[in-house]
Amino acid sequence: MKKSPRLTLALAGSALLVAPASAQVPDLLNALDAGGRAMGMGGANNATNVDTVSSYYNPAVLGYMEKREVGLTYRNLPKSITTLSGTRSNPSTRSDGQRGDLNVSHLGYAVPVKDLFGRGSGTLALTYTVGGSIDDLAGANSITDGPLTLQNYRLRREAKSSFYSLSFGKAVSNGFAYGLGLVMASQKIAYSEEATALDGQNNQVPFSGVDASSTGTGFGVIAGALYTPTTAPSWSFGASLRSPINLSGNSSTASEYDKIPGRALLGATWRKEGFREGKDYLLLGGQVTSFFGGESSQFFDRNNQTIFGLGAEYNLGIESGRVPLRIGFATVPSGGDGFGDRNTFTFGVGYRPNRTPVGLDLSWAVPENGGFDFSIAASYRFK
Amino acid sequence: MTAKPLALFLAVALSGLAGAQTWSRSYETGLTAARGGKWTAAREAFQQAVAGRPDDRSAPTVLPGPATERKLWRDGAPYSPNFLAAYSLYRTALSSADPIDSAKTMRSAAGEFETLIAKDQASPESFFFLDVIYTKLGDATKRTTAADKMTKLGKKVDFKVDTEIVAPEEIAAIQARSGAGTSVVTNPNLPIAQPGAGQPTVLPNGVVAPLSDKFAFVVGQSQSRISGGLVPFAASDAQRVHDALVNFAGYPSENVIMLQNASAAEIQSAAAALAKRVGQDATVLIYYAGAGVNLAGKDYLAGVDTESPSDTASMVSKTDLFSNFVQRGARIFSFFEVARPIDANGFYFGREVATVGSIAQIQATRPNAVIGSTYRDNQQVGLFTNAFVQCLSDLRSNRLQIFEFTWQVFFAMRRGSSGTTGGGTTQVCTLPQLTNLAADAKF
Repeated sequence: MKKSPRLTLALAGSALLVAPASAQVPDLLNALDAGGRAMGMGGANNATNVDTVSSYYNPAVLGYMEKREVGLTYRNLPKSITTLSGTRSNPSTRSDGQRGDLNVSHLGYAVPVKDLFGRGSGTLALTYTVGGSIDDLAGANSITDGPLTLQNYRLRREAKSSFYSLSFGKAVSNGFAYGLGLVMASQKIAYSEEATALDGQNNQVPFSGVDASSTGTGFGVIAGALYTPTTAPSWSFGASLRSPINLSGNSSTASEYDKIPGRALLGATWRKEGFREGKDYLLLGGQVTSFFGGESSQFFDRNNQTIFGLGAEYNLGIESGRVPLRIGFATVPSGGDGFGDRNTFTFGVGYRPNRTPVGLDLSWAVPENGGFDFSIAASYRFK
Repeated sequence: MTAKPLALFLAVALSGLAGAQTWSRSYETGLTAARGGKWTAAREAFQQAVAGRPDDRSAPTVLPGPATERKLWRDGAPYSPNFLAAYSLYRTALSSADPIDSAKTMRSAAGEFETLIAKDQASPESFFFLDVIYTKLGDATKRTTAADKMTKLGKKVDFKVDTEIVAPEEIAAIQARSGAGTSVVTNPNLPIAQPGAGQPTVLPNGVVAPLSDKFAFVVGQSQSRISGGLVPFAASDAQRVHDALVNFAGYPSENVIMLQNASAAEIQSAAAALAKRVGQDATVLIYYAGAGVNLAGKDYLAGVDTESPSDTASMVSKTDLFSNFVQRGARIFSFFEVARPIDANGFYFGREVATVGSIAQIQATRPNAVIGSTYRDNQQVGLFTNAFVQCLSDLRSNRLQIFEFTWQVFFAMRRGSSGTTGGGTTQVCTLPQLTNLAADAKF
């Protein structure tokens, strides 16, 4: 029987969305998309998008926020279940992604300097953003540890990176804007093992597993730039650089994770007008994000990591406003030993009413290693 | 270790900041000077803008900023420093006390307008001022040449210019000249013209003689629930209009239907009932004061129960309202005291053009403007209604020419119902948008 092209495409698409198990823990230790508009585009326009989360991704964009704005995003923080086999020191792993619970992933408030002090230019923003999350429960019914056999072995690894940013952005001239910010990170790290240990004669012996938990804090800085060529205003280029952040107050976990890697971000967005007699327009975006300066460890190993995002947003003009429809792809390769890829197809929809300065964005992501990401974001721009 | 890449990054980012964007500031300076009547300073500022950005541009200027959120310079206004420099020169000439110097300056201004047209920037405004200048200079040859050129170019005379500082009466005259093709430019300094065909219309009691073929449908909606669309004096305005139509314009009281704070269903029902009494070639005047919206190019009148600007189920389509009377073969003269904000898609009330029937439409204000008011007899009244009623009272005729009448309303608004010349105001009405009607059609 000959399949129609449409059916073939549908089957291919379904195959992509079926969640195969990943070899290792999906790596969102540093590369969690905070959700919102950009998430539906595979994170492709975080560097150029104008909203309060710019304080975290690229503070230069704040320079184009001419009114006070508040933004709030909820998204799930993904989990994973990992099946172990082999030896404790060098196990074979097989991870399945899980959705995880909804959390506030971003809360921000931006205010033009002029509104604060009665004069001046540029915009300040104070934001809270979750930028990394790992919640993995690994286990094995039986696994060897030298001469011992570990039954009902469990290894839990948790990490959550929360960033509090105070940023300033200013549009200067000729399409340039710059931004600077101070970032305070709060890094939760926890890992623990439990098992029943048996010796060669099947006698139970004490199990010396690890068990550590702490929340460290540290400070970093971020600088960003945005350029929209005056001769080609359909293009925007954004870039930002955040310093690595050394943590303190985390003595019990410092040996595993003592430094949040720095981040370099480069993105471009292209706009095409004129669809449906000028009612609609299209945005295409691409972004590269590189994490650098991390440290090696057993449970939270960090190497340099580069992630990519590509996406499109078709803005449909309707009677009452605008409906952005989004699609994208984000690829997150492993950033360290013990972690695996997390590549996702993303899509989203938003609404921008004509007469009310609010924005609403729903975004979804389908990771190849299972689970299902969802975010809901709302913003209000004061009149 | 970290400081080095950060410093390098900042250096690269900030290196592009050279070359400030001065044309915009110069342009704004020019506008400010022009608003203050400082035409020489305005011209200099516009010329400075030209130095930074030489050519006029018909299309909106996209401001530097992220492509994700496009912003337009001055809400999408054309960039017209050369045109405005020429216009400023023309205004300078007008204010010159020395006739020789004035004529010389006028010729220079004309030369600049000609240059713009030669650069394929042919705008109705440039041709209009050429016509005015050559008329003032008594240069019939050049005036005719310019007129012939405009005719020859036809639809190519479409270059948009910024009319921010062009006098409202000039804008109205330009619209009349290029839109309806009937240049009905009334000199505001003349006494109010006597309209109509000279019929003896005023009865001994001062009331204009009613004509049985004249009908009016007057609606005043003070209690709008749509944010931003409230015209709080609309209901009392409707009463004023009702009284003026009956007393000063020959509308039999039994032929005038007035609704105040009515629902869409009530408006449609009353219009349909009135339409049954209307005959072929009858005159129907529609006066609506209240909230209105334009959704995707279609005009709607809000009912008192309308909750949101997109709630079309509780609104009356303007076309549907017209249709009641169009189907009876009546001529419609419609007046709308409605705020006209421009939405994000460029739509505003009054943008919908009638294509069926014989219809005149007059808006109380220009696009992107609100409805202003004043006080009369200790009561708030819309500027448009005030001028409308005043003109009816002054003219007292049962056969008013629509274009002439609207000009009178225009000047009454422009002068704030004071004095006889010039004037300044935040609001002036539009001239009639005519569909299958003559400029001197009577109502």
